[in-house]
Amino acid sequence: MNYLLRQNVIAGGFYLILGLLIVFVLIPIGVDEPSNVQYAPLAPSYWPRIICFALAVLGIAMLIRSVMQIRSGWASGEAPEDAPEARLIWRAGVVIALGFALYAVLETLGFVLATAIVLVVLMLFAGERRLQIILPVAAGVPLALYFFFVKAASIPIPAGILESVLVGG
Amino acid sequence: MFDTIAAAFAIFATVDNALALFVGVIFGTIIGAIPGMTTPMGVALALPFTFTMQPVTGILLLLGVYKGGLYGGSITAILLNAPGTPAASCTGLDGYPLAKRGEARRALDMALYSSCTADFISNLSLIFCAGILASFALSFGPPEFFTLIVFSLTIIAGVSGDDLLKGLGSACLGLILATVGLDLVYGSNRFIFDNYELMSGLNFIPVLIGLFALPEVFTFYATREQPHEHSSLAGKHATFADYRRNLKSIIRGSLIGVVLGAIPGIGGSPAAFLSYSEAKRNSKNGHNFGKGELEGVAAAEAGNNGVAGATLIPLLALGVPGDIITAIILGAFMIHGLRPGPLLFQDNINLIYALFMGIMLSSAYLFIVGKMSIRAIAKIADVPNRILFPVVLVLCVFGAYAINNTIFDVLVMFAMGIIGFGMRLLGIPAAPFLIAFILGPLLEDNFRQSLLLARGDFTIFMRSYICWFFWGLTALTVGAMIYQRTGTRPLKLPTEG
Repeated sequence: MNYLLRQNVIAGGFYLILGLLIVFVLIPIGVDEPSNVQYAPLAPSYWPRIICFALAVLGIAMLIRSVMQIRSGWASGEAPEDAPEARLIWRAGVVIALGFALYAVLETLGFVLATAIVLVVLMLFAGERRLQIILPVAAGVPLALYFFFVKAASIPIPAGILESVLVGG
Repeated sequence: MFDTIAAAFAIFATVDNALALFVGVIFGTIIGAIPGMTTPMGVALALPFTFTMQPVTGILLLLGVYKGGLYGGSITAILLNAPGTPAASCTGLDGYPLAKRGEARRALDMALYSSCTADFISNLSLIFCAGILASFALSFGPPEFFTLIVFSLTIIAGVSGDDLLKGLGSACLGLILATVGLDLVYGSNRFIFDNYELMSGLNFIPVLIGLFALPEVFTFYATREQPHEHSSLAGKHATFADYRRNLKSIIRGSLIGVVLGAIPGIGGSPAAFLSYSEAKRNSKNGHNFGKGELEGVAAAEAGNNGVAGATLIPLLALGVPGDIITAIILGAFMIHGLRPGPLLFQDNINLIYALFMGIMLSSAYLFIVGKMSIRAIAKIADVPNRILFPVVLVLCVFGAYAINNTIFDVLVMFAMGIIGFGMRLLGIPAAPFLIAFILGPLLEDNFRQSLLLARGDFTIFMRSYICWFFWGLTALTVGAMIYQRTGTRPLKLPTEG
């Protein structure tokens, strides 16, 4: 099975399973139905149900199309040049994990310190080795953003353990 | 009338507006010039900076980014044959051969002159057409709006990717995500699961940033970094004679851009290629197209930039976004408590005129930025991606937090980033998702309002000729898309052995 066909089968299966999962599991437990609904189409679950049935039907159509393509030996292309490489996807996983770690410490460490650390790690991870570039960028970008939002836009940004330095007092 | 224009001028003529538009054009040009960075991503990153601005100032900044991005894509297309935007790939067909011949400066100048002219013509079309369309739309009720939005969704989902089924599925995902929160009619919970932060639904900004900016960052880490080429500006400037010689192609391309731009879902790329092919067909130098013909650069850029003002016609007049960037700008209007559409023309005409003034100024800014700062922009575009993308991630975090000052939005952004990256891995386009997410509440609201009016009778969706007109357009579009796709024969798989 070539790249595009595999993509279509997985996407079709995903649409089908998600559509059915929402209709039969998430809507019954996640949508509160009032008792005084005048007309069925006005019920809170009516609209999500229609969309999810449509999603499941699209999934079935994609799967049928893929089966027909496999049987007839036709496929419509290969991976685009800028598509993520399968053997490098773990690197995206590391960045995602780093993102969640950042989320966990944002309020404790504060936006400036937490994002500065993440910047250093991400630049090193991307292959940048020049400390004379890494350090000014890691210090300058979070500080500039912090002061823009706090001073120019009057949006409070948590300063965390640097509060006494950045805010004073 | 003059009172309205004077009032609009008073809203528009502020230092903040002039500065925001200028900064927007510069930022957009830089973003457009960097291969791997997209204009929607630029608009998404700029959006959080507009929260505390006046509505006109914030929207002008975003429009500046949009227009700058359209032009900026041509810079690296010409210098490096690495188009910053899909539409700019057409500019590179002749721009890059010109640069290789040592005429980069001339090609860039022609791209600029052509862009500014097309942008100006497109802006005029917006000013003249939007009001007329809006006054027509004043007679729309909920059923008419419902059919209009169905039509918009159909066409947008269809043209947002190579695969119609995947595009429609993506739109369904966006629609279902838009139902999270309190139900509009009965006020009951939908998919909240005892999380009070979900009661008002998912915020548009973290969803937008997560879908459009974060997957770019993740993809950068999951692909091998390309060797970095350095751009060089060489050769003489384009002359007025060059411009005059190509004026016919520029005007033709601009008009093509205006017509295609005004139709929801078409975008800059088809306009650029159609303009290019028409110029090639009509030019006496047609045989030279693709080998370094200045007229090819002019035609491609005119088509590409001709859509800029025209895509705002359906947005401002009907409240329907013509492409993904105008969908983001629609979100920006909503953040500022405004709802584009006929009622905006009725209630806030001063604001509309002020925007028109700013839009006209943006053409002049584009010219100034292109002439004065092209060398600096080309240098900034040389910043390696291994520095740029970590900075983008940090910008995303600040931007997602700033909308509501809640850390929950940062979590939503990362979750949407994973969904967006997963969609990219499966080849599912993100644009229909976001457009459906934005239009979803409006679609459902009009659907249910109509049924309330009609006491549950579905024939209300066929009550007027306007409904029939949009159903007809929807059927025509779906039919055309199916015909187009079934008419394309796929490639045969190589036999594995």
